[in-house]
Amino acid sequence: MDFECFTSCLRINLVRNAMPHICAALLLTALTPVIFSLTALNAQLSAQPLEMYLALTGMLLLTPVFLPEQDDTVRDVVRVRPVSYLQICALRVIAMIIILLLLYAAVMLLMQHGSCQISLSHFYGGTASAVFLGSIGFCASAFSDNTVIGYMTAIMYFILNLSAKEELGEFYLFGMSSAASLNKIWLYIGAAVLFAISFAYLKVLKKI
Amino acid sequence: MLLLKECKKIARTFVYLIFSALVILDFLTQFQNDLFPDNTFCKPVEGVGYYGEICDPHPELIMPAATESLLNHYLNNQFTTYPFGFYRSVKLNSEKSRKIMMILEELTGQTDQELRAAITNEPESTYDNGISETYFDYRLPELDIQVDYDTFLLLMEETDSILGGGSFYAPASLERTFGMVDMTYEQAAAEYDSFVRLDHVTNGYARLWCDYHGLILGILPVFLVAAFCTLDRRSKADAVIHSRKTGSFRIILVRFLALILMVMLPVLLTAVWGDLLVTRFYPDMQLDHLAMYKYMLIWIVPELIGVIGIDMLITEVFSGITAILLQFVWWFYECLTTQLSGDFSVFHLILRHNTFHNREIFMNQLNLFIQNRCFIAGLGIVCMLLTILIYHLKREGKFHGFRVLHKLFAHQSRA
Repeated sequence: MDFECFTSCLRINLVRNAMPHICAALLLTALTPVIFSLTALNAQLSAQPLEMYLALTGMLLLTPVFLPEQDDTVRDVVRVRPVSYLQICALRVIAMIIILLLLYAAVMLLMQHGSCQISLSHFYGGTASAVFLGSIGFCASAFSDNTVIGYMTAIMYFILNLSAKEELGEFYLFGMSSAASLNKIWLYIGAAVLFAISFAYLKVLKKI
Repeated sequence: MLLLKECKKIARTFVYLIFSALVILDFLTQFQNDLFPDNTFCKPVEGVGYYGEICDPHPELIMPAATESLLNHYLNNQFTTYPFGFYRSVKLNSEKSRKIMMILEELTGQTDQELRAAITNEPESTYDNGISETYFDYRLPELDIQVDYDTFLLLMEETDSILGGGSFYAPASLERTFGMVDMTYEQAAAEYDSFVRLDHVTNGYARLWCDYHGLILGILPVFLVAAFCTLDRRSKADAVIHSRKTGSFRIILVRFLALILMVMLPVLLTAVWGDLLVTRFYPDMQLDHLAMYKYMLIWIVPELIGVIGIDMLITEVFSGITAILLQFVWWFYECLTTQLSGDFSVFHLILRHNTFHNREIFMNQLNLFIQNRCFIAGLGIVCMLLTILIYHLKREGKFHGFRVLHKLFAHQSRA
């Protein structure tokens, strides 16, 4: 894929496909100071908006990656194009993760301005939860070929986290908010595995 | 028969399989988890053990405790609220702070200086209340409240409003926060008596069963609605269906009924299962074996009518994904802001009574419960009727659904 094609794909995808989802994620982020107090919070309370609320941006941005081509006829058209469909999807995933990191950075700047006790580990831990939640929706969408099932799986996993802390172990999303000493690297590894098996399934079994 | 056809169509979707599995899983991990030998309700023995806590809303108990708490928060200018279920620290500006002082003056009959002078401990006594600023815990001699309970409630409502809502001083939270006392033997015995004699055991458990299912059924049906109502579009059968003779009213009504019936199937299965489980744990009691079904009809069915009706309308006007996201926002807000029991109101989607005890709390709010269920079911039916109208307009080609962002960002050819 040459650079011009790359930027063109990225621009068209952002404007034509991803914009409603980006707008929803922006709205969710903009509401953070309304729902949470972002001043003078200690380290544990600072993690709450990042893990229990902003993590939903991961679901909003990453679950609908396959949505534009959910219709088989559109997918058939995409298949005959010279650029690989899965390369385009990978590009979308990277773009969405960058947007997600920017949204987190914006909220954390606001928290720093409000004298909250935050550090880089909050950024790392918060984004880990968001990317993992998004990867669950992404993977379920890929396997079922249905974005509704993607959202259903991601939302159910989020709800499960509200009551099953012990059972989820290292894959518990709200580790920092509940002062559990979890290594968030597992969430990133889990997300990477889910992205990889989704692409492998589409490439090898579905022959896309 | 169209209804049977639609039911079969729903049953064949993958989403329905997941939906049914989740309903049963919810039953096993929540309701069945609460049924174990040590958790059965035994007759209390006088002088043996702790009988638990009860909300005993005596004004003599609530008014001084709430006033002292308010005074402490005022002196620190640091208030804790939970407007959306999440922690929020509130600092008041001088004007709002003055309003709180005036309320305190009216409550205690003492001025700001007199109250500060009455503090009995050293101000360096502190504790960490979750934020990184120091909070001083002031202790005061017993406060003599100068107003009656009705005036007190009005002043507390005003306080909550000044704080932006979601505080402990909201009249609905006051009793739960400042009115909890240890239960006496007599109260525990009366509680057991109502459980056995009036609830016949199963009615108490039926409320708990409805509480768990009501919570999860506030969100799960939306996935089924989104998947089912967009099925025609995905399989490109919508144009064929639109040209059929069958009226829009019949198509949408049958889909609405089919969705309710299919959602009820796994719920009904857990009702039978639940009744059998309770029977096994209380073998010598006289049980009401219809309790689960009675509560299912008055508690779960209206909620399903509401959720399915609203979600069908949003799916038809916007899209299935919009319905999922809006329903999730509504459901999450309800979960965070609804108390575990005794917090019924007319406009809540989810009603909670997370215990098989406390029949009295439920019965005291029965009118609110009925009004709420009628409102939710009525809203669902109105939305279903609007869905018929929208669907009819779509069939006639007069409306194609709102795609605001789609239009805004639509690709325009430069040719």
